[in-house]
Amino acid sequence: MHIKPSLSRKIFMACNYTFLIALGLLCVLPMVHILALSFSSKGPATAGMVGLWPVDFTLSSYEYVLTKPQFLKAMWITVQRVVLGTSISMLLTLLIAYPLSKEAKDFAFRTQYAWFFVFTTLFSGGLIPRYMTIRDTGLIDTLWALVIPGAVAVFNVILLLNFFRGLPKELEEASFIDGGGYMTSLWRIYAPLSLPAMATVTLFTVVGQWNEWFDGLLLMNTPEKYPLSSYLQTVIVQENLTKVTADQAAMLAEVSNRTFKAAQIFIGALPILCVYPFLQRFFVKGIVMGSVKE
Amino acid sequence: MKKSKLGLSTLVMIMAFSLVLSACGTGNNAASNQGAADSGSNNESVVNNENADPFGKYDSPIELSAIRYVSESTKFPNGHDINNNVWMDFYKSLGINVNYKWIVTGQEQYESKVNIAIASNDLPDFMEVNEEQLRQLADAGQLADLTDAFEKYASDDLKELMSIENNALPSATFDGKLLAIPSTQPVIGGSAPLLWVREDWMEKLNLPDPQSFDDVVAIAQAFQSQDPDGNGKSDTYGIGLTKDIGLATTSLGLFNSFEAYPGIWIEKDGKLEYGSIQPEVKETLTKLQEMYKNKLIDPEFGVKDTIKMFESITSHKIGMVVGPSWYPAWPFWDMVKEDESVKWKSYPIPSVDGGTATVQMPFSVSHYYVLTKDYEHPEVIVKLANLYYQKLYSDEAEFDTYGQVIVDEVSIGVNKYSLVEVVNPNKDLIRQQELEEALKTNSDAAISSSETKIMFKEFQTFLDGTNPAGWSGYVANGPDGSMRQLRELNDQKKVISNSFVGAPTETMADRKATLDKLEQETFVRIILGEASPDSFDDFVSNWKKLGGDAITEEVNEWNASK
Repeated sequence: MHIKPSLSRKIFMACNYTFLIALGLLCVLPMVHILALSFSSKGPATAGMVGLWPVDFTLSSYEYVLTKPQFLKAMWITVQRVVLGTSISMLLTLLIAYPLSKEAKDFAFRTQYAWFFVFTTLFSGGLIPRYMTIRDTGLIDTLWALVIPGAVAVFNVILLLNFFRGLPKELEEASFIDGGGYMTSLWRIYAPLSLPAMATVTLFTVVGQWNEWFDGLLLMNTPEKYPLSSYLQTVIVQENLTKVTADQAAMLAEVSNRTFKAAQIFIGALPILCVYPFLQRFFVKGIVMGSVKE
Repeated sequence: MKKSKLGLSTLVMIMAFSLVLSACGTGNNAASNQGAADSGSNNESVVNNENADPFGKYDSPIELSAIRYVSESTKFPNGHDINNNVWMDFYKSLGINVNYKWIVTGQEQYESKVNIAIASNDLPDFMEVNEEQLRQLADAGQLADLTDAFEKYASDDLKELMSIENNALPSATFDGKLLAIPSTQPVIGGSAPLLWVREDWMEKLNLPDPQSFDDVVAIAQAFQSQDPDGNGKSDTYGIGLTKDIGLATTSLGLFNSFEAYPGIWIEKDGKLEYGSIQPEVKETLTKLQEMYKNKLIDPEFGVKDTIKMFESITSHKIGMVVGPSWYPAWPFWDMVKEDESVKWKSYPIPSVDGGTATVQMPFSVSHYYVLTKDYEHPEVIVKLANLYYQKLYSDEAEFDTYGQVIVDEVSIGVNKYSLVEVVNPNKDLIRQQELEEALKTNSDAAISSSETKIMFKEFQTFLDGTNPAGWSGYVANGPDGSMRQLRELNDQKKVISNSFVGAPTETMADRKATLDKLEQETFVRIILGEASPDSFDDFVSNWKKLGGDAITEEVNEWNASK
């Protein structure tokens, strides 16, 4: 049966679409602008003439960036960090979420444990104690400093925990009857069934690892060890122009090339742009499914 | 439910308590460390009495741990890096082994890492700090006393250098003790404002040179209304401006024209007064509001930073801008390179009553080099400063080794690898004078530094037409250049700098950020016409109430005790 939409409904839908399209453009246009800048030559770029389409098309920025050793090194470190960080994170998140999804009668101190984790989301030691801890544990200046301190994201644990609770208990009971233990149940029932939720959490983790720049600056002792995002931050942030001397000015002019910056930003964002569409289909499902409990 | 709440609050209490305990623990440690350091440095100063050669070598090598930043624009010759370069080799040959605890890219990032290092008491022997950090470390008693070391080890050149800016050493002195070596910089060429005008537009519209502020307004009017770029559209503005009113050179020059000096402390009737709250500032703002209303000022200045403004300049939208002497290098060269008919010319800032105005520049020291208290060789920092000056600017300078090298036709500033940087505040002016003389005699015999000799060669190749890129250097340092105009102003004592220097006072540390924000907002709102010029009076009384009076008192106390 087809219901003819009323006039008010039509107007509403039109407004809705306009608004959403505008919102979408708002997100996409800056990216398009950066892309256009990166393909333009320096002259028009410094004159601010580049809008959404390259002016004076050239690939020279990409040639420059892709032969720049530091950029490639930083990219490699980021790849390592994402792979390592995401694996550790996912493993720990699973191992924590599963027992916490049990009821208190199955797991004696469940509530206390849960509160312990929640506590860390409400209170943190702050920057300096965090720095001192990482320094004193000897992680500083190693790749581990980027992956271990933030390995357990409590928000992700809660997400996964809620998803586990939404799965029918009977499945697990069946496996117990057949002689399976908790580990069997986790790896052979819960993990495979919660793929959508895990994909979501993975996406969060990957994006988080990719974008995090401050810990690289804080915890690495030489610029050669910066991950890509920290490196990009040092490239893009403009030095304070009120205190430069005449000699420095000429050098700053050289590094202020906007097309190079644009190319680096774009290459830096590219892998994440590619990952998103593949994981996105799980995305909504993953977040919403855990939210309704029987 | 009730039970778990109780559990949570107990947990919070325990955590908070343990935090307090651990904080006490570190505090005690730090104190006892300092005690040990005290006795250590006392012994040392006795040993040092024997020989005091400013450039002396250490017979048994000493270790110096340091932290530093490398700016994004720093380049290295092939195979060299920050740990392995001419300066590090040179230090090593003198028995100074420098070990970097960490290195970071960029000055801003460096400053925040230093803050963390200070807070976590994880300090190296040597580091560069800004004014706030210097005060913090000095108050905590964590710095080595350099008074004796400077007295004994400073070379004559270094002592003379420090006396050119007579506030340099006092700004690093706390309770009679010299705690840091100031990094003096040639700020006059970096920051003192000049009026830059599109000369080709002036010629086209047949306009006279700007002699007074009224001329500036007239030129701006012509640039705005008479289509100087000849494209048939009214798309050009008279004056470019950035949103940092009262902070960036672009606006400071306009204020200076009215004898207003925002952001710095000026002497008035024997007392120090804050420049931003003087009646001359109101006068300037009133005039700027009027100009903005008449569309003489870039209508979008309220959202533009310097780089954005450069864009408008490069795209031929702006015909006049107040800026430092180096604008030819950036952004003007980007335009001239593309289009040779573009001409930029500088003029000294014209005063509102005709003639040239007295202009302002910041204090020539914004960074300091310090040693932490327990370091055994306090004289090493003085030696590093001696060596930098000796190798770059003295009679024994080896500038083409330690200053600038040319590899594959790219010039690389290797002086940036040095740990300290002390530069003659008048370096740019001396260089201009020497270049002018050399051009007259057509010989570089009278040039004192090899850095200037390199520049003279660039001049010659520019003038015979083989080196068009020499344009920016010539427009800045040539016989008619911007630096020449600054030199004249300086000779006439028409360049003033902040009368209050060094570490911020107590109330400044607490309130300055708020007050600066208030100032910025007021200034921008008045120019945009969102507030009447009379709201400046409210700003002044608010400024005084919100801590300004206390700051003025502290500044004058400092002045009296100097």
